[in-house]
Amino acid sequence: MTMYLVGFMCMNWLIGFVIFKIFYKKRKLYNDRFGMVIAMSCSGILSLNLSMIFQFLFLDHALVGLVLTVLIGGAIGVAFGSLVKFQSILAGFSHGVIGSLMGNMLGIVVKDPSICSLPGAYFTMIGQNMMIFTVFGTLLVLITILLVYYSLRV
Amino acid sequence: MLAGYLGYILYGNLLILALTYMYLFKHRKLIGFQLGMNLSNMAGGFIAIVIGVILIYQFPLKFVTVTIITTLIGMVAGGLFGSLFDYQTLLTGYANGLMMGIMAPMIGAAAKNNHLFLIFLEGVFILSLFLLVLSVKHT
Repeated sequence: MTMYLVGFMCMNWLIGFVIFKIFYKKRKLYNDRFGMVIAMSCSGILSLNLSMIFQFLFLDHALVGLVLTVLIGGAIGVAFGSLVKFQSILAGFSHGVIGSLMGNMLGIVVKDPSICSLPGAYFTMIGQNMMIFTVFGTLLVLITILLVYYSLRV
Repeated sequence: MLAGYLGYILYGNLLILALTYMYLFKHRKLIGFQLGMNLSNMAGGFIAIVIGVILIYQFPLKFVTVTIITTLIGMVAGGLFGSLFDYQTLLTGYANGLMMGIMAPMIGAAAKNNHLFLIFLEGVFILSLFLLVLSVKHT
């Protein structure tokens, strides 16, 4: 289970680095509105998935994970926003922080279903839910990155 | 009392959203990209929240499936409203619908089948669609 989560986390970091390198190479090509759209969509979904997997990975330390992943999400947003002009840093930072807060919320609810007063049947399948949500989040990241990458050609 | 009518409320919401989409499709030449971005954000986000809350009220034992379906619906609705204008409005509406769709079943599960909350959300949804239709002609 730990290896599975670590593998998916490394895969997310790899996807983020690859798309950041591609955008860094082509940063002279697009205007500031397109930079804002990139910062909003990429940083939101990437920080959501990363913080969700981080919460699954460290089961006992919810608060430490929350603080750390919010900082990481803000850093991702600033990195994607600073490609073009400094006005898109604001959009990237806010969407990164919102995305990582929401990912923490989803991770904590899946770990402990009694917070959202879900029925007791969930306690028997926490591990299965973790695996399903990890795969689903990674699929969402892949779809988003492909859509954003395709927008370089439109 | 409201529990028997949850399906009808779902169909009604989708119908109202489709009517709004047809109205926007007719007037899409009037709308610039700035307004189009806000329109796609608003439509995708609110339909995802309302559908997520209704579905988790109806099927409280299927949290994972409801989350996946709501996320897909939010993505598709935001993308459809955004694709009226531009590729970049499509991306904005898509990302916002995704975020709201992931969040919505958690809100519905925490509300514990409270029907007053659903009526309040319906009011907010109808008000937002009213504002959306009103803002097309008056920008």
